[in-house]
Amino acid sequence: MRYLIVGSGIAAVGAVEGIRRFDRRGEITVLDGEKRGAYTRPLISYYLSDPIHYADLSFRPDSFFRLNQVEMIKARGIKIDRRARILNLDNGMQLAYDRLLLACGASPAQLELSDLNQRWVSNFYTLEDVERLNMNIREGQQAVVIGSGLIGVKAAEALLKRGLRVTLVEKAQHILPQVLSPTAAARLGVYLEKAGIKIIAGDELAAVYPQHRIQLSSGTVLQSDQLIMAVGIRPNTELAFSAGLKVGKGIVADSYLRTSDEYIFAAGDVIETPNLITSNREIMALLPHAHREGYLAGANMSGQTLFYRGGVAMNSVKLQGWSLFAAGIPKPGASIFYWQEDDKYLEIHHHQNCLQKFIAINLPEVAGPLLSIIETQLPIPEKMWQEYVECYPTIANLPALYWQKIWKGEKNDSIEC
Amino acid sequence: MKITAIPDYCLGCGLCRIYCAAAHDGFQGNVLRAFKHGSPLPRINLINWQGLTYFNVCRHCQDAPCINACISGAMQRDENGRVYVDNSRCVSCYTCILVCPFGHPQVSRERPGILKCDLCRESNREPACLKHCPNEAIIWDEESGPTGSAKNKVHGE
Amino acid sequence: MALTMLAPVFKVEREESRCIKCGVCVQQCANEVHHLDNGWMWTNDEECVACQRCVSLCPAQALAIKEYPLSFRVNSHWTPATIREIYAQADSGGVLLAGMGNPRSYKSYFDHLLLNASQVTNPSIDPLREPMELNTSLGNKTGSSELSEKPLISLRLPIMFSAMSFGSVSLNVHKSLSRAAYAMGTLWNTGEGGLHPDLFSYKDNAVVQVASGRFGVHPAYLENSAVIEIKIGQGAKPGIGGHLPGAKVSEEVARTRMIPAWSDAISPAPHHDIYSIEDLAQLIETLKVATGYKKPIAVKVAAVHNISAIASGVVRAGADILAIDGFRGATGAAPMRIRDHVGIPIEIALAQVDSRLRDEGIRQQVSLVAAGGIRNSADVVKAIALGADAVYIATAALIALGCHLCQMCFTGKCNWGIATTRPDLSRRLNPEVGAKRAQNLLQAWEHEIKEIMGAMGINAIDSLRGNRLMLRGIGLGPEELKILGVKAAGEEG
Repeated sequence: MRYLIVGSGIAAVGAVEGIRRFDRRGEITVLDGEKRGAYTRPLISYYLSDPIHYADLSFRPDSFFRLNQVEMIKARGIKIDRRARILNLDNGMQLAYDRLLLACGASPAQLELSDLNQRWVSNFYTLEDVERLNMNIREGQQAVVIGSGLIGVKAAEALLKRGLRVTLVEKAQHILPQVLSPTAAARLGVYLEKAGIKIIAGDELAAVYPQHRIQLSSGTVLQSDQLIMAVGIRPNTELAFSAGLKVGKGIVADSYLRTSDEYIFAAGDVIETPNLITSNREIMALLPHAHREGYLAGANMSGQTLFYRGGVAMNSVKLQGWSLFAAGIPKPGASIFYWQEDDKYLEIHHHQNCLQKFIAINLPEVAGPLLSIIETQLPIPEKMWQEYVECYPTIANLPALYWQKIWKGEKNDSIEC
Repeated sequence: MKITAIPDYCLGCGLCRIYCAAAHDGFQGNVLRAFKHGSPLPRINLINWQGLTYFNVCRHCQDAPCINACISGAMQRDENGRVYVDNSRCVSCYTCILVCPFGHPQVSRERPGILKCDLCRESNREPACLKHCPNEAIIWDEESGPTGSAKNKVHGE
Repeated sequence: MALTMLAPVFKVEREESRCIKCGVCVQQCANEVHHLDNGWMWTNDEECVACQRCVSLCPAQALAIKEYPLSFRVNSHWTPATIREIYAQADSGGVLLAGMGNPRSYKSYFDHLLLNASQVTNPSIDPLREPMELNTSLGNKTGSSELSEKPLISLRLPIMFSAMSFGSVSLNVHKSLSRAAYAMGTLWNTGEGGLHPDLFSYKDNAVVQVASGRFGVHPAYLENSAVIEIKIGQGAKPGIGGHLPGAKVSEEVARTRMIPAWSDAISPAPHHDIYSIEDLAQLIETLKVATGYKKPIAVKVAAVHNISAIASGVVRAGADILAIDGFRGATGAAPMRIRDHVGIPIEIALAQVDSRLRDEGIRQQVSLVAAGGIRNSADVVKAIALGADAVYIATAALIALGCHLCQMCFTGKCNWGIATTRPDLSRRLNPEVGAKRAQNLLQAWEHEIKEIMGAMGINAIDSLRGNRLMLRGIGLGPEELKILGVKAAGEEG
């Protein structure tokens, strides 16, 4: 069996692990389009904050691909010949495959603005981006980060640490709009402002002028020595699209990670992930999902039939010493329970007997159990959450139904397994 | 390879936590050195629930979500199946904490990185908690030990 | 309340340079001696009973329990203990309660008996090279053992666990002892508190008691046993009934005893249907009929002044096994004056009874079991040489399980999880551990008994039984030697 994997990120690593679990012999080839070899994207903000300390961005030992007998080719795929099962590469080579995995990831989304091609305007997505930033930034410079998703806030934090004055601009009414509620965002916002990050919410970039000046929709003009664009991502679906595979917002894959071609699988940021709670398919560019999808796709390419239930949006991040955990999606009509004390904060969204979403600030111990309650859609009566936030929300005080499952249940392994 | 505790015989005394801290961070099992002259960091937690004390320890899952979700490759599995964290690689993104359904990995206030049970792999001895439990309530979980292929399920259903 | 004159009996010494304020002592002390307030450790010495739980578990070896340095003026008649007892009674106006066995310094006859060994004229035996027989049969041996009316029970070694009721001790004690008895091919005893259904599987090793309160006696109870024992008296409190305080009668205890939960369980002093040997004979016969003559019936009596006449009557009433409990036998709770002043030593009673039964020619009809204060394998050998077929041990078994003899069993706050039914405390005795330790104790004694017998040149325990020539008295007067039926050290025999 010849496996061909396009991409060398998390999903590709997961796929190699999935294939090798069931097939020790098959030939695996990985196309590595990165100039710098495989690394994890979330690490680039750490790299920028301290390039010496975080010089090594690999998430598996260097020997990983070699030990798994993977052939690495530095090239990009440009065209799939589905009938002949051949992939044409940008270096002129042709590779035949029995199973092809598209794990081509995503690229930063771009705003429809002119004059973005300035030296002082950067994306914040690849290692090259931050390496260039690393060369260009100077202490005391004014930086403006457009977009306050996780990438944006981590970029802002890294720049702050390097001694820049940072302004964070968010189109929505509050920062981290996909992750936090307005209440939680307000708390975090106050904290980040205190730490030195200026936040402008409900405004967006309207124009970029020479001489390091930008203008927002509200008319505000800002000085910007460095402009960082972090306005989201866009799956790299071109290859799939040109091959005639079914593509929506991302590549459409079934519950076995198979595309509309039975020999072609897809995994990672490039596909639409089924949302465990709503069953909608959406782009969920999250590392844990990419690994799982890659793993299952790899296993299924080798002949298994492992079902992928999908995932929920989940985020954990440490920002300026605060730990922030959130998962799930808000649902209209949900009952929301709040608890707060000092810098600790918990928000629980409950709807129809199930936990829909939680946000935990500086309460790390409850994050894992709460996510597992969402993922397994464990039915828990609303009253229990009411009681939970009325007492101190520790791990031990979690609703009895959760602990019953853990302590009295048969399973003593990861629940999802 | 994993340990577990029988709640019916757990005293809730907390000695496991004390010996755990002393077994790590170079204290070489010396409780006084750890607690009088160092900052002891136990890797395990006890949870009091409905009159019993439960031992919240790493299950060293076959398909560990924490390893799969680790963004920096700090969370690893060794040749004996023990899941451990290499804190020199950890960037404190806490994804492992988020994805662990048991709430096992913990944040350490004293230093960056996370704390989790590594079955005392560095000392290469029997886990300190198991060895020192005064009531032998902590035991090896044979059923799902290294050879427990019955539980060798993978992701999905 | 006015000033109490009771000062603490013990003092907890904490070495500050070692204490790591981990709070294990605080968590473990059911008497609430240790306290940790915002990093400040303090103790309430008055509550300390010197059970040593904190000392044993302290991970920093920071604790020591000492006698409280309270000096009364020296007085060999009015001892500190005597004075304290008066203070306590002046405070309370009640009977003094006590647990475990008689602690007073009465003469221990075991310590005045020495064993013989072979030299030149007869060879000693090496137990590692040659077989040693400790197998012991209990029951009426006058008939053929094939007759079911006279059933015999076979033990791998002549040591059994004595009666301790569920309620006075935790279920985990029963679990530990029953498993150890099973592993060692011997018997354990339910005491008068019934047999918990979890332990029906150990029925072939169970002695079930029928006592004056008749707690937990029902057909399945009698059926799930190897031996049925009628308890007339107990060495620690001859002539006194039992009183299990309601606080110890948990739901589980109540179910097993078939009484309402949280109500006092009172065993009357006498059996109200036994006022004569004839009444006893009726009960023995009833139990035999009820169980189809398949089980030996034992009768347990406390060693009192006219024990030999009582023993003779019990044997004639049809008992297959007679257990005699000496005045050092222990208890979960007894009035202190009774525990400390009533009864006679087991060594004396045993010698008396064995001689009397032999004289009357009925010794073969019964097996004698000696109980009350057997501390080690040498005591076992001496008891057997004095005439016992087997011994009962209880205090020694509890010590093996962790008992530190603090003698506060009646409080129900046993920190070792033994004499308590509080779930949080009884959890402290893991039956896996307890069974292993009790089994180890029996194994160790088994080895030692074989060594002692080998030295004597005896290879079967049967040859030792009643063989008082193997004993010599030391420091005993002529009357004591006569009663014990042993010669003085140095006397040829």
